[in-house]
Amino acid sequence: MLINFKEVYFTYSPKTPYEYEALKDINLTIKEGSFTFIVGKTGCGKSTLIQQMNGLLVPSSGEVTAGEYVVSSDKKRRTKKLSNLRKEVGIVFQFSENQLFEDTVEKDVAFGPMNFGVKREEALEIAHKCIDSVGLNESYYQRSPFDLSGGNRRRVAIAGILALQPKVLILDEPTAGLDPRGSEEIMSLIQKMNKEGITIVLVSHDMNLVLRYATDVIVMNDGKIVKEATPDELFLENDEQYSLETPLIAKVVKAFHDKGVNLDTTNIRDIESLANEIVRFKK
Amino acid sequence: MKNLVLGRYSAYDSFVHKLDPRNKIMCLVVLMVAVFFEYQDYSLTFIMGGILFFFIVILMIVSHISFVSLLKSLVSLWFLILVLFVINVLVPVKNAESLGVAFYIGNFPIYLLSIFQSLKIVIRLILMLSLTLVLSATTSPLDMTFAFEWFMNPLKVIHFPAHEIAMTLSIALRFIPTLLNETERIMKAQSSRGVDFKHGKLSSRFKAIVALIVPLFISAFQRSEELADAMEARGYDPKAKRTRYHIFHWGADDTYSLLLCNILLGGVIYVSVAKLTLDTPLVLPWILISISLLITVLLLTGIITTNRKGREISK
Repeated sequence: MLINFKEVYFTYSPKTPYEYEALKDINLTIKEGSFTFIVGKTGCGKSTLIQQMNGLLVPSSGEVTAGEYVVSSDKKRRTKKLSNLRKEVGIVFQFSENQLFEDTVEKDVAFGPMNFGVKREEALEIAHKCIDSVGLNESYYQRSPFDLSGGNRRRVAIAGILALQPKVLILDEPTAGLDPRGSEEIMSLIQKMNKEGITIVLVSHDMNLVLRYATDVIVMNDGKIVKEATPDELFLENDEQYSLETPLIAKVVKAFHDKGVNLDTTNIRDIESLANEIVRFKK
Repeated sequence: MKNLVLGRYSAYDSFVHKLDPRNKIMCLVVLMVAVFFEYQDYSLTFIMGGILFFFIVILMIVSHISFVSLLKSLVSLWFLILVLFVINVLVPVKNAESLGVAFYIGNFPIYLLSIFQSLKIVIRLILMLSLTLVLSATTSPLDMTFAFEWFMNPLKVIHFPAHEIAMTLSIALRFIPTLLNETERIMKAQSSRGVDFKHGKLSSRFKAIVALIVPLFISAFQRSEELADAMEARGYDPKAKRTRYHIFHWGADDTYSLLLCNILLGGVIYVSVAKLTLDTPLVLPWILISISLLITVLLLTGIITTNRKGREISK
């Protein structure tokens, strides 16, 4: 499913003293099957941007199209029932573990599909599949989500969105506040889903993740898109102008570059691909 | 969420904003009392209501309150107004015929008296609402709790926990916007899971509310626990003597405005207690009221013109 932004502006609390323009002239396409990262400073409009993608927020002017759905500032052009769009485009919010409320994990995960009219038994079946796929086993089905650790609760929350079987999955800092191992597991889970054909949009501050997983990067600043690039273009050439932190691997490559070793940057994503590239260079 | 922020404090640098919060509460009480006086006949009631409303309108202009917000709150009162009207029409009163019949519904007479009666209550409601709107839009919640604590001071003699109550109140007020944000966040998260908060059957609406309330309560309890720990870690002691960052000074403006409100109340009391009607020569009360209105207009128009430049202080 293709998501397309056309001249989107968004203003919070218009016509009040608290008026604030969060998005300015956003033109953007999120390709089908891509793993797109949205990066930028806190308060630059990332969260506002992703909420336009499933109709939680409607542009003040301009329009967002997602598949056949139209989220437009123009009421006549807007798709009547935007709630169905939320089945296609799932958003996992920041600290999503706070949205759990049912007394068992399986019921909480099945809550989403049941809202879209899936029968109870079928919904539970989907729930079981999704709980398994986020790396929790059968013993978790009947447990209360409030007894789980923070990391596992976040897995349950992600499973709750996965259960909608969306075509596009948007995650707002899914690794924030998790330990390194937990975030590693969550990220490889997300990568696995991407390989299964789900388009992933991910908001993150961790540039190491960006270099490692992204196919496309969108850099935002002050409500505008300042750069659309592939990660190697962004980091291995010039990233300082956007005041982003350079990933560790990119620093190593730059150090090699300064010593006169010009590695081919297009395939360097993590330690292993860096090592491969060095070996290849030596030959 | 938008209608919940009605009468929310907005930081302008206006005359009313700068008044002492204690004074503002006293003025509010005085004006509220003035709203609730009974007069000899209905035309006088409406005239007095109009005078008070004129006064409040000036206050609203000075303190940068939009009339749209007042209108919105009135629109939400339509049901109450309807009920009032129906009850006033149905309940028999003494001398209902005294003012004659307004119109008939079938054979059922609707008396002018009952229409006037409900109109009077509606006018009082509007006045009360706009008065509280002025107070809440111009006084920050923290200033308000300070004023409450100050008013409760005499009760300390009988070991009434004035400070504790004020502290609880200020924390509660402080966390209203936080909880509102939280509500909005959870609503969005649950909408992403297909919850429809606005439409649907009663049972699914109930489920939607549960999906909102449970996470909200959990986060509120977590927050309060964290806050209590943080306060204790910094050595908070409710019994200790406290100093304030902002110290309120009772200025000349406060004295003037309180005096003004009292003059207005005096005029209202005179008109009411002396049982004046429109036919009696009304020398003294009208002079009192017109003087106070004149002072208000002069004082406040002066302030409006200087205030127009006054920008909003902070977001």
